[in-house]
Amino acid sequence: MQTPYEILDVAEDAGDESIKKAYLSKVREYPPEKNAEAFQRIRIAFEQIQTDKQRRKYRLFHHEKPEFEALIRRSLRPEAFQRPDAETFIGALAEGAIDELLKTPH
Amino acid sequence: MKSKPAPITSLDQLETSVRMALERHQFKEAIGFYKDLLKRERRPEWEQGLAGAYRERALQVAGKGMFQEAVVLWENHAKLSPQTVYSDAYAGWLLRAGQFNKLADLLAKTPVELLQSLFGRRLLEAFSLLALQNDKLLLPLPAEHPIVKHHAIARQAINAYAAGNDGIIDEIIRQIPSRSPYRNVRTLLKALSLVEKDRASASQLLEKIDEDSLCEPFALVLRQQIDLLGPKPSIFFGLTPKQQSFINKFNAYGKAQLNLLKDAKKFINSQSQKIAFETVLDHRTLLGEAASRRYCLAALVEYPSGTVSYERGFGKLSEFDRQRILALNAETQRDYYTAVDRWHEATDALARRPAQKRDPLDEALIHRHIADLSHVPEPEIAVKALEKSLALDPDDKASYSSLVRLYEEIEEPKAAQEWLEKGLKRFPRDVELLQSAMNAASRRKAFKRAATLARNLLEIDPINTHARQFLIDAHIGHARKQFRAGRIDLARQELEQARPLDPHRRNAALSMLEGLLAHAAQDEECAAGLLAEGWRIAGGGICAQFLSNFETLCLDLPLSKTARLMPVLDKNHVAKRQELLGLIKLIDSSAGEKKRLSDALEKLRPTLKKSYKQAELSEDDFFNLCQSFARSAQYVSLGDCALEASKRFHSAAAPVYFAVFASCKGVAKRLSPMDERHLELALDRAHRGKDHRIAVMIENFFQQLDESLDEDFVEGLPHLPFGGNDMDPRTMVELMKRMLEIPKISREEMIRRISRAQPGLPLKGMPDDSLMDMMLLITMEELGLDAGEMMPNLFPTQGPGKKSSKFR
Repeated sequence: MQTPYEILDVAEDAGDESIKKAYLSKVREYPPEKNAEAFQRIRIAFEQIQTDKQRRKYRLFHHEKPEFEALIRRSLRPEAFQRPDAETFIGALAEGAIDELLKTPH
Repeated sequence: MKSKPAPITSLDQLETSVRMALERHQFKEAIGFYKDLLKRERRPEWEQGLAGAYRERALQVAGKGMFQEAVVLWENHAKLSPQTVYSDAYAGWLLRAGQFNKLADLLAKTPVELLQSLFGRRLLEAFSLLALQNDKLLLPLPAEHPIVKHHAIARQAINAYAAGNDGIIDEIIRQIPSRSPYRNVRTLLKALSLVEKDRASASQLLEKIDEDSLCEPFALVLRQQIDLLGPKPSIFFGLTPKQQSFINKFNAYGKAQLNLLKDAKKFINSQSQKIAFETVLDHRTLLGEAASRRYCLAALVEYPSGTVSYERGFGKLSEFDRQRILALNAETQRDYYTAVDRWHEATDALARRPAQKRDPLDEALIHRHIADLSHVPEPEIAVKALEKSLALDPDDKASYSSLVRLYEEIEEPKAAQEWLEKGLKRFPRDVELLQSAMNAASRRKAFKRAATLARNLLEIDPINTHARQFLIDAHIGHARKQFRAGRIDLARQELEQARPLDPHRRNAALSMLEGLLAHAAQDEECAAGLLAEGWRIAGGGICAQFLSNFETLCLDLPLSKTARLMPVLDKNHVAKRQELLGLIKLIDSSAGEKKRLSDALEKLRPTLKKSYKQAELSEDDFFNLCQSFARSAQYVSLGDCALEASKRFHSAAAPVYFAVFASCKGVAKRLSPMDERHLELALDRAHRGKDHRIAVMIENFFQQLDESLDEDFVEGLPHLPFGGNDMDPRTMVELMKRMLEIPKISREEMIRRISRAQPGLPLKGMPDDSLMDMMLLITMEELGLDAGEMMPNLFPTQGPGKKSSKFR
């Protein structure tokens, strides 16, 4: 489950202004008429951390963890790319192809 | 020993056996019988039958995952049916059985036109990729076969990519046409060679890979890397080992990342919170200290046994955090009592911090949270918590309202009033607080104060209908009193003050009273006009008649005198549903004048009884009517209404309850044994019908009965124990109930509760009996009793004038 900070993409020590700014930017990205579900999530997240009191309440009484996979994924973001050798490339393609082909209905 | 069946000898017998085996899908046996038949005679239909049996048996064993056997059986089938050229199923089994050379043979003799199914197209693509790994697979294929034709160019392009010769890649891959099975490899190479220079174009190119291509899922993962997202573990581990190895090399992962991926896999496979916790803890340097700490701290709520590991990794938890985690853990288990205790410990820990490190707002928020958790089961704890929260953070408007509401619920009007005043002092213009204050003043009959508050409320919120109605009702009430006392002018003044509050003339009672005052002043024309207006505003029918009767009675005027001034309800009138529902509101607003309300209803009784029978009333409508009569203590009308409801809704519990409630005039003590039995049956029916509303009402009535019996019981006692003859009977009963509960409490729980009430006592080695004595003492103190005085032997006082026990 994503935390409201993750949903709004703000730091956990963000203040009223930056949270409001992030909220408005997210609403522009996911307007309610185009993506009602995403908007609802954004709205709830904003209401949870809008003011100092709400942020304190969130800190004290909520225990949603950051998503495990998201946490792992963030630290596995590639910084630079390398070229694997030809055999690794072909091996990946061939092995993946057989794997996929066997999933194909016949 | 079971004897072996005699061999079948005749052809007829064999043919019957083969037919039966086929019908039973016993293809292995069918193959045996066909072979026997063919040994006797080579008939074409038996050869065809055998071919069919081989095919069916092949499908049967493939379904069990025996692909090598399936391949052999299919080949036997193909020998007997030479027209069989190609089959997707056979090709699939060859792949699964790893018989790539046979697959090459199959493709060599299969025209490409026969490979147009999704599987066929994908088979060509897969084989072309396999051939890149193993050139020998191409040997059986003719030179002009599409797999052979562009094989060397594709291989060359891959070598160029791996060697970083981007300059020639374009030139090479241009030679691969768009119908070639290597076309998606072409796109893939083009995209990958662009990654370093132009990530966006590379990502866009990868999107162009055919949707049904075997390379598409891999291209999707590659795209995520190029967009710098990192692999999603659940998707990454769905890749084949060689694909994973490619991603690891492509992303240039070092040992730390590879180890993290290895541990993440354990979580993906197990979904165990413990493994997730330990993975984050172990890889905190890579994942980031702050994010890992946050994750682990939150995870402790579901996995409190990880505390030791957490402290090893991130340092000792503060006492506050420790209690907070245990409290949240108790909340997740829905153990609210433990949660409340833990939150108390948490606030104690905060309060022990040095002044400069204390955070009163956090403490206040926790006290409010305690109040939220305990307001239903233990409102007394909730009020204490709210009081503490307001001492720490007096600016929380909502807490004042909650506190007032709770004090009203536990029937402590003095305290409610005190907090209302405190709230209003701090927030003099708060609508909710003003409204609560107005209602409270009205309840304790401080009408002047209530009217002042209503006026203040209207100044702040001019459309507040509640305040407006309150003021109109107050003026009407005063006008009635003044009229009855013969002070007609003062009565008129009251109505003149009420009139501006009803500028659109929507208040029927006001118009009727104005009419009755005009009648008293012998202005009959004006009186008739105003009374007719009141009648119209009330909607005519039974509501208008009720209101005219009620207002006349409220002025102590005889009904006969005013009857000629206004329209009169037809004797045969039958009230419709809407009229009866409208009557509920009028009854509720007239409840303060019980006797006059009763007289007004009495006049309408024949019409009402007729109307209950004939109006289209639902079960809910009857419930609402009955509830209104019950609320205003109109037991005769309630009885009539409940009787008709019970005739209409035989199986409903509500009419039974209301009929009984009417017969004992709302006093549980007057219940006859027969009524009690009726109520028990109705309660059972309500539970079965999931009618919680009426079930709660019946249960409350039974509780009222129990309490009255408790009081009788206590009053009947010759001598109360613990010197408690002066004790309030309810407290006495409560004490006895709680005393009976003490032996059921576990030793650990007793130690916890006693330590909470009186920290620092050496309880661990204390015998159970002594613990129970102390529990009794705590219980008595909770009930406001002086244990030292009541049980001097058990809890001797410490000296003259000292009121309480050894505890203090």
